[in-house]
Amino acid sequence: MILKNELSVLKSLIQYRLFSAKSTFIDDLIDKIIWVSGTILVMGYLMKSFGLKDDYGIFMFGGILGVSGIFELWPMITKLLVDIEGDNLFGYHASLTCSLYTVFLAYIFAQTFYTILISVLILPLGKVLLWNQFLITNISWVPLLGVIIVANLLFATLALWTASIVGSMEKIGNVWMRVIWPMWFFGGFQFSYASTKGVWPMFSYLMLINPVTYATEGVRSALVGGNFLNSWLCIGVLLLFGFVMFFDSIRRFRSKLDLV
Amino acid sequence: MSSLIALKNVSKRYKGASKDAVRDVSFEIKSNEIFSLLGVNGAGKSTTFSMIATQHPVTSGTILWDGVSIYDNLLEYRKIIGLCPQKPSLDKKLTVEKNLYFAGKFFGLSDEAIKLRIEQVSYMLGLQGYMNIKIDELSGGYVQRCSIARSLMHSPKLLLLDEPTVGLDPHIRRQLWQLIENLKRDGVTIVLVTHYLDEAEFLSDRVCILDKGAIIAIDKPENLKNSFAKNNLEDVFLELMSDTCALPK
Repeated sequence: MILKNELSVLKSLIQYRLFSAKSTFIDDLIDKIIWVSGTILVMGYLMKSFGLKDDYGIFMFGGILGVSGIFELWPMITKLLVDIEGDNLFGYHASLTCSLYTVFLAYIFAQTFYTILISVLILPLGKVLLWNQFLITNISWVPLLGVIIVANLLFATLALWTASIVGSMEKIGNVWMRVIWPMWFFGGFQFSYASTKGVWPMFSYLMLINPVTYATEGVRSALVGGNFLNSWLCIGVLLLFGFVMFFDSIRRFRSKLDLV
Repeated sequence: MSSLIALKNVSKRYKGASKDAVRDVSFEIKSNEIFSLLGVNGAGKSTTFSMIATQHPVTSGTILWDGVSIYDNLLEYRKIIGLCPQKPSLDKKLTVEKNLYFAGKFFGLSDEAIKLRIEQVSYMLGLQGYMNIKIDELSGGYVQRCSIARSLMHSPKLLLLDEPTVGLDPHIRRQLWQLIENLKRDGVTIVLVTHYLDEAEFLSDRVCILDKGAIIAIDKPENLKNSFAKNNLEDVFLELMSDTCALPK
């Protein structure tokens, strides 16, 4: 009975969040198309003239698919903090007939669905732009979808966790430089774990504590195969990071907002 | 009238605060009454309200619903309350109808039941002509009406209204008073937090006046006026608050 009620509220909250997010979807998709097209055209074609390898375009596209959710972090965190400090819809949801876990899960699942939808839509764009460099037959579809789903689950959880630490809009300016940019830049977006280990082992070990590394490596491993961390290992580690952040977010929000 | 909610020695101290926001507060809210919490800013009325609404936990003491702690059956308790917070907490990008629709969904109503209930609450609150308008295009009075409508979607037994008429034009306030009276007539118990003493006097069966987190008076407005030999509740309030509100000499 309790579980049935929780699932019913979870479903309604997810429906609500997705319905509410509809108004920004096209804008977000256009932003993502600009980013993907620009990155692929420069890295896959222009940079060859500067000595980059022929397959660097598809390598970058793997990174893009893995980390596209991280670029939703900033708006996600901002919206959360603006809401908490303003209209407080979050507080209203926390007073519904469900546990706090359900409210958080609904947020995470809805955000994940939203960012996955964008990721899936940029997949054909990658094929069109890279054409012969991107062989559909090389893709391991199940691990690819697995990594994309789990990576986006992690990014949605990371948004909650970061918002629970940042605390107020006053400090939102620090989030980009202290959280998002280092995670993205040092998370193997432009280089692989294996190649880094060959040139700078200590740095490669540091990469292993960055969840973004597992998102980029996992996608590349499923997309083109080769010398990347195994996709299933990446899925496991991403889930582990997600679980820790999920429970810690609830603990922090319960304390910060003084929730029952 | 039987007791619906009872606060027993409830205290609240916020994290990092040096003193209690609410101290050892006990009272009962009877079924089908309008019970108002009054006090100056910082008196503890919104904190008391938020604990009854389960937005914040008590630090000590307990809140009973039909004799059982609300924390023992939190989710069932939340089903009987309709919460209308001071900040409307509506989705501004959605229409009135969609805000009401999702409120119904959150409480497990079927689409058919939601449709019927939307018709009822929109009629009660005069929102029929505004259903397809987004919240951020509405005036303050209509946002407030929508917030009350949302809190009524699941037909709660206990309606919690935090400053429902603040900032509204006098004629809109009067309309909302009428609505609150109608809800009482329909069997709803109402807890009202307000700064307006005329509103409290007009609507309330009983008022609870708080000062510095503690109850200093709790009774029917008529009884308080008689006890203090005053013509209106505002004069009673000013006398009770003479120390708190005195200007420095």
